[in-house]
Amino acid sequence: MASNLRLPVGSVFEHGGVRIAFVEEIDGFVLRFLVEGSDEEFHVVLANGVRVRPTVQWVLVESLAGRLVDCATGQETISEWAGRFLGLDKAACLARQPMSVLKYDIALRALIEGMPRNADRLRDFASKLVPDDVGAPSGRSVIRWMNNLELNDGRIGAMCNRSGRPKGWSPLAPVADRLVQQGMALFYADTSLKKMGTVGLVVAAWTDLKERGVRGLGEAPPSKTTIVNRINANENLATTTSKFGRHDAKRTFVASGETITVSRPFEMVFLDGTEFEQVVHYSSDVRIPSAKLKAVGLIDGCSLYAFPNSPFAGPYRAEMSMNALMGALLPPTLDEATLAENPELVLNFGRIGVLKGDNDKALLPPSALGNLANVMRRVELARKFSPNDKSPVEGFWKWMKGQFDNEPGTVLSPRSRKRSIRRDPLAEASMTRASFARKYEQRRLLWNDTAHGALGDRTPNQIMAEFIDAEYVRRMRRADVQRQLARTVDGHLTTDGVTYDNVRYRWNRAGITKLLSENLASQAFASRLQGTAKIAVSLRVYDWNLDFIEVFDQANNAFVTLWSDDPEYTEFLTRYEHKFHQSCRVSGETGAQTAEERALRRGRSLQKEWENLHNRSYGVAKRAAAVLAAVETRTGSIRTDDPDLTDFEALLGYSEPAGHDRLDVPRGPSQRRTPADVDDAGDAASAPASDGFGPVADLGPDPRTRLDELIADQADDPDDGIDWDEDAPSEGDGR
Amino acid sequence: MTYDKDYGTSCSYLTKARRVQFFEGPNEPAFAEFMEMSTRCVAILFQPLEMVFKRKDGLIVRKYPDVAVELWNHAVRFGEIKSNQAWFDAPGVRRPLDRMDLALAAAGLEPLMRISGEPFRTEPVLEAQAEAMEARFIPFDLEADVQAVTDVVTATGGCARYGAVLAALGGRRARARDKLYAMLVRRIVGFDLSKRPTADTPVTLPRPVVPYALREVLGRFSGRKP
Repeated sequence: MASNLRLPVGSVFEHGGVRIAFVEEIDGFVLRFLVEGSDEEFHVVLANGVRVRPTVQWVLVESLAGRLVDCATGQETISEWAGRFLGLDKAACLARQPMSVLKYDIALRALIEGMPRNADRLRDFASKLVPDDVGAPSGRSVIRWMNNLELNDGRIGAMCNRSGRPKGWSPLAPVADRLVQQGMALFYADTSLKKMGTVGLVVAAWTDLKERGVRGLGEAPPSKTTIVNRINANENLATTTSKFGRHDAKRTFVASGETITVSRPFEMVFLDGTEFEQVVHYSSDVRIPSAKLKAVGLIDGCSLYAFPNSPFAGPYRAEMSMNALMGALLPPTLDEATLAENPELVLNFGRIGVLKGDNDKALLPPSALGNLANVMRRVELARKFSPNDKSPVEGFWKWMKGQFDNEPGTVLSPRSRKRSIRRDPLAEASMTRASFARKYEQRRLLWNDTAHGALGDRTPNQIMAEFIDAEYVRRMRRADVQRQLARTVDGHLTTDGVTYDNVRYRWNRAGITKLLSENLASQAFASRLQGTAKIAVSLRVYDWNLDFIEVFDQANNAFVTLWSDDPEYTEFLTRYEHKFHQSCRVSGETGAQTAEERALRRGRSLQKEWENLHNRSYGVAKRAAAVLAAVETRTGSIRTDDPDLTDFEALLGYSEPAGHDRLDVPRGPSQRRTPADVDDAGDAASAPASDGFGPVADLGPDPRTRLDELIADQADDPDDGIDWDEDAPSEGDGR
Repeated sequence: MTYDKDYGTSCSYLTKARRVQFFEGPNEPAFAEFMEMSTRCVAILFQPLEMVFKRKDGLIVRKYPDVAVELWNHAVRFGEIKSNQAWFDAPGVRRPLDRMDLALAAAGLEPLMRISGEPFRTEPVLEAQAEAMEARFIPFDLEADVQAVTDVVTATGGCARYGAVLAALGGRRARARDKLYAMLVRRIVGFDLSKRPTADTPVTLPRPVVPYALREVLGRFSGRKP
């Protein structure tokens, strides 16, 4: 029958100058104490000289009177700390504290050789035994080590540093510790209590108890840091569940996702973008720090092969992701030196299985998804808050950024230790965009040629080569692939062609005539014009080359190419540059009337940017550099046809993109959060387009019902008078 | 399919839907791929139907059955996909599904299929489907290759060994295997894809079926005001 005193075994008290340690409760009332450091039992001497064992009442009375004092640090407890280490062997001590092994060696040598306990002699002795990079210990330290070693029977654990309190021991006074613990428990029990609120509660309770004269509270109330540390130390799944609920706790702690094993190259490919920390110059002639480059990369999950792509300046845009995808779907363009060494590298491309992309609409816009699904098995978007889903590509970026780490012009983060106020990365920048791109490509080739532990010490090139030897390369035609990487937009075709994004496309007169004549019949009368044909068409626009677009001919199930009527302006122009030039047109000025004027204005705006580049601040120069860099990229590397693959004909096999007999227009998912409400007037123009397969079922996930969307639909009863809830109670009844 | 979800969303082109279909979570694409490569299914669509209910307190509730499948015998079944059967007895799921069954019965359709996604996500199934789905679009000769395969299968009485069919197709082994998957997705041949096919997997010739029933069923409800 235990008493309510609940003294922990081994608690040390001091009574009348004698230190006593609690051993056990004999029954519910009588306690057994031993004098510390001996086996002698402690007895209380009563008034008449009788010696009796202490009791619970005695302990309480003496404590209140102040004659029995609690000593947290008794000799036994100190020796208990040493006991943690004395049992360790040399290897364990080396793992914990390498210095302890050194101390042991020195002290043991000194003892064996019988050195006198003389500080100077021992210092010289020790300095011979110590390795060069460690300073020689002082003689007094060596004396202390020798004494300690002798005291503890020569065990190496005695050399371990015992300082610091063991885990779970609080240096606070016991009642104060209990208050802090209860404050922490209250914090995690109550949803709305904040850490500062907890601090206030604990301090108030401490002050209250102090005023009442409770002992064991210590001198000062527990500090804010103590309480916050106690709260933070107890953050785990259980406490987070009790404070924030199961859902949030699971999101924080439960391991993410399911591991999917990939067994073949191309089965799962990861797409991600990153920004490098190096500032680059615009060009070797114009040494102005003007941009930080970004890259969008594609990594194969099974072989960790990095497909070709190039770093670019300016914001993330879809055409860069398409660039990266084309690097995987189309044969890579390699320079002659690489091709001469490893001709089989040209075969590392093919049809992708699952593409796992980021949640970023700038990388994979919704309008691109409908077409991307044709050249892949599946396009997946990562969940939010789960960067682990793309760990291979994050690993690649970490390696790549590490390779660029010490280049001049690296902008360090504010918390980096290497950052110094004397170093200005903008002044130190020395790479140009072209040289950065060259280095990036070399390092990408290096990554592909480096053995990785995760691959069983094989290189990605080897794994791809083995796969291609065993199977074959699933190749698609260049035009097919590029069409599937275009975006689908809606437009109107008239006899004047199509206008999209302020560029008019009309050169393919025979094609337009045929399109109009064969598709006019399917056009609704309300949207027709008088005397001239106009049809609503679905377009495929190419963001990397505004020179042409493709119009889908529904009647013949084919695509018709239209070229722009301003070829000097749009030749290989990218959409980003086009936007830039549009924004340069001053609003008050008369717009360019002819093609020549447009080209002239394009040249003028570029020249203006060029001249002022050195005057502008870095933030403005960034934008200019992005556009100017696009010009440079374009002139340097245009891939219009495939490299020579005749040597490898046996390993190639044609595959086709899907969708040749599709019924829908390949759009992206609807981004609406609520279902489309067909209004009562029900006119065709306002009803969203369905492809004849049912009502406007929103292809998004099930929307939440909203109480404020109560539709008074008394007249039209969709249930034909049946009340589904007639004999059933509402949904939430106990189950 | 949105960009802001607690579980991953994905999309893929299904030849049996003739559209891009959007999925949520890992169960729906696993089921979709199995149906795409299965000869028992001739048409499949995800969330094509919107069912509107009015509760007793006047609240309008919209439900979207996860999938609509047309089977080889032109039977049209709607289904809900969850990860395992236990979910279908969970509170907040069982009663609404029962109500949807009632609504379907009132429209003359069969009750919802309760599809659990876990059997479709086992390692052998995923492995087999991955290989097949990547090879679906390999072109094959509609006369020569199909004739060769039909000859082999009919010569052995309607059911041939997979190894024999591959040999009959000729050419590079990997290419022949991919051509057979392309034929499987077009229901020219049929074999079991619940694990990777071995040389002894039986290959049959399923009866050609032109899908019309799903279109008809959904056409009954198109244009109706909710």
